[in-house]
Amino acid sequence: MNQDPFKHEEQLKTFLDSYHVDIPEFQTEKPGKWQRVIQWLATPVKNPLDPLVETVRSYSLAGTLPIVLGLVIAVLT
Amino acid sequence: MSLRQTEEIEMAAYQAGDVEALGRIYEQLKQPLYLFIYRYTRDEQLSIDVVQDTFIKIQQYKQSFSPEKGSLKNFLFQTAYRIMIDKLNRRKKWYRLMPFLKPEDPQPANTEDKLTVQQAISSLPEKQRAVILLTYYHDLSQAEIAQMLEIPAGTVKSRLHHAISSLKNMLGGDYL
Repeated sequence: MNQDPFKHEEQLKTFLDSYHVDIPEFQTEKPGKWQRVIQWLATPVKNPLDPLVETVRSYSLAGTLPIVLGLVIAVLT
Repeated sequence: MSLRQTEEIEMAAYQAGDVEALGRIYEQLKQPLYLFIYRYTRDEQLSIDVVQDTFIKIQQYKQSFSPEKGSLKNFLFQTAYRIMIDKLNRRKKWYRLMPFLKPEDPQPANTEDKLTVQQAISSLPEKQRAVILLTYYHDLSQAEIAQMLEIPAGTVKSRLHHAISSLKNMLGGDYL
């Protein structure tokens, strides 16, 4: 059962061996709550408006949004 | 004296009240733990959190370790694996509720080979990924992995077989 499954997989072994990881320095204790909140806030996230940027939809939205807003304001006032 | 024996002696000392023994265990095992979690998640901060949480758990449940049940390395890896899966599941729920909180994909690596091996391993199904990482990089036996993942030994064997086949298929071409 425990026969080496990689015995005849020399190329696969070479490939897997190329996975190097740089280990950062860190302590046993976790940082305080505030520091963790700051780290969380500083984590880069995907821009939720990305799908609207530089697409046909963004041009049509830019064109129609002022008209729609104008109509909404006209109806409300 | 083997590494396993050294770890067990340190753990026995810690269980008996030698607080400094935990520091020595930490120094010995934090790197393999970090490597396993990082290769599984490709998330540096999450990997650090899991390693730290694992050692906090060990302090709380130090008496539940018994060398008859398995090695200290296996005990720590099992604890870390459970913490990691809990965190990943919690994250998935959050991202389902608020998809805009999803972080950017991990940064591409510097070299082409590194990028490819990272992508290849990350694209394996989670269950296969854990088995191949533990077998290849951490030298755990199939029996130990079965105990750690709480699955039958036969399942470990078949997942490993599928993982190797998938990797060979993915890498195919000129490399293999």
